[in-house]
Amino acid sequence: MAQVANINDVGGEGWIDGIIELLLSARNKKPGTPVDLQANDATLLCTQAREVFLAQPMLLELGAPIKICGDVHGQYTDLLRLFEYGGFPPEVRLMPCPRYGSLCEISTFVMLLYRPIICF
Amino acid sequence: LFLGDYVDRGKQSLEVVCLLFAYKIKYPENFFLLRGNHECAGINRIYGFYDECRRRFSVKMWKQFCNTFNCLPCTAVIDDKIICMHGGLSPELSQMEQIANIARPCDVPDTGLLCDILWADPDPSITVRCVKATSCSFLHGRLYFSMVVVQQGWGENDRGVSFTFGGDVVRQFLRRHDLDLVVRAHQVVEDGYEFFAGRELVTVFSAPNYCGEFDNAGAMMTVDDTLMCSFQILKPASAAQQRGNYAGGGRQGTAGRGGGGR
Repeated sequence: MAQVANINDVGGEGWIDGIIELLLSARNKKPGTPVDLQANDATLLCTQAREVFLAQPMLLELGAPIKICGDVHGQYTDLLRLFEYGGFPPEVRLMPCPRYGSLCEISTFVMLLYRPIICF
Repeated sequence: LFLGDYVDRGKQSLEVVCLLFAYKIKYPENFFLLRGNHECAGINRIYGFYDECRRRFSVKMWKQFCNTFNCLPCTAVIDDKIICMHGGLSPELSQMEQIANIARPCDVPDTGLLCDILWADPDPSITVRCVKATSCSFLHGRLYFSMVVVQQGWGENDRGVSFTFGGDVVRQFLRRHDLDLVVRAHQVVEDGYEFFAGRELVTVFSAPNYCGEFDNAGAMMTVDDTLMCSFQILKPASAAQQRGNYAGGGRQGTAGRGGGGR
């Protein structure tokens, strides 16, 4: 696949960068335009991702800060919107957020969730 | 961290799952994917992914994706305080080690721990499952009751798979494991996120205008380093935009921020 990476680096760092670039190129196209993925690249994504998943535990132990997303269901344009809004990996940083709603609201949330400690 | 259900329903499951796999390969320690109930051959055979794979590649390709789905982790715990999964809790879950000990690759069984983690729902019938009259008073010639609505225990799930669970189940689970919050997905919610059980469980759903049939927003939850939670919202498209003028969909209006807490 001419658009993606260098043929000598299939499966390597340059290859994966090329795949990501190809997939992100949809941002500049009409929503819904399919990305011209090649079968051998899709296969390699499956085998490499599988290895990474198996190398990590079934129960992940992660640390904050972190961003969490729910169902995507094949809505690729919306997935790209999520990344544009929340940041693309690995550049995800917490955005300064002076407007959480009211301070009151935060206090209520904190109190609700700390209730056991407060009771104790 | 994504909570699953990457494929089916929408038109570009392949792009979604390929981009997410690519990021996982590129940033294995900074990007995480959990398994949803649609990352299962028996489900995505029916709801769209199989057809998309067959149309654009082959049935063999669909099988390759399913083999990878069978290796996805199902649960994450953030700083020992926030537990994340696609569906919810399980009556079989007593020790966290049970999750860690689920062997992969594995299909999603019809019953049991993994099935519940991917399929269970908090009980939405807040109405009359268990309504307790806690007190009554007689004032100005009228009798007043104060009612407390309590959701309790495990119930039958309308999906025909797994269970529903009440607020008491969430509370007991969190106390027993010294956790503060359950974060799950699995159900479309109008604002993209919705609390349950006195804010001890939150549903996060990130597909706005789900299936083109709902007017729901999509949400992304941010947990900061003090475990304070906030929400970023993708507004739903208006009806006019949905009718075909949705060309700016990838970039248009995002706004709104809910507040949340640990």
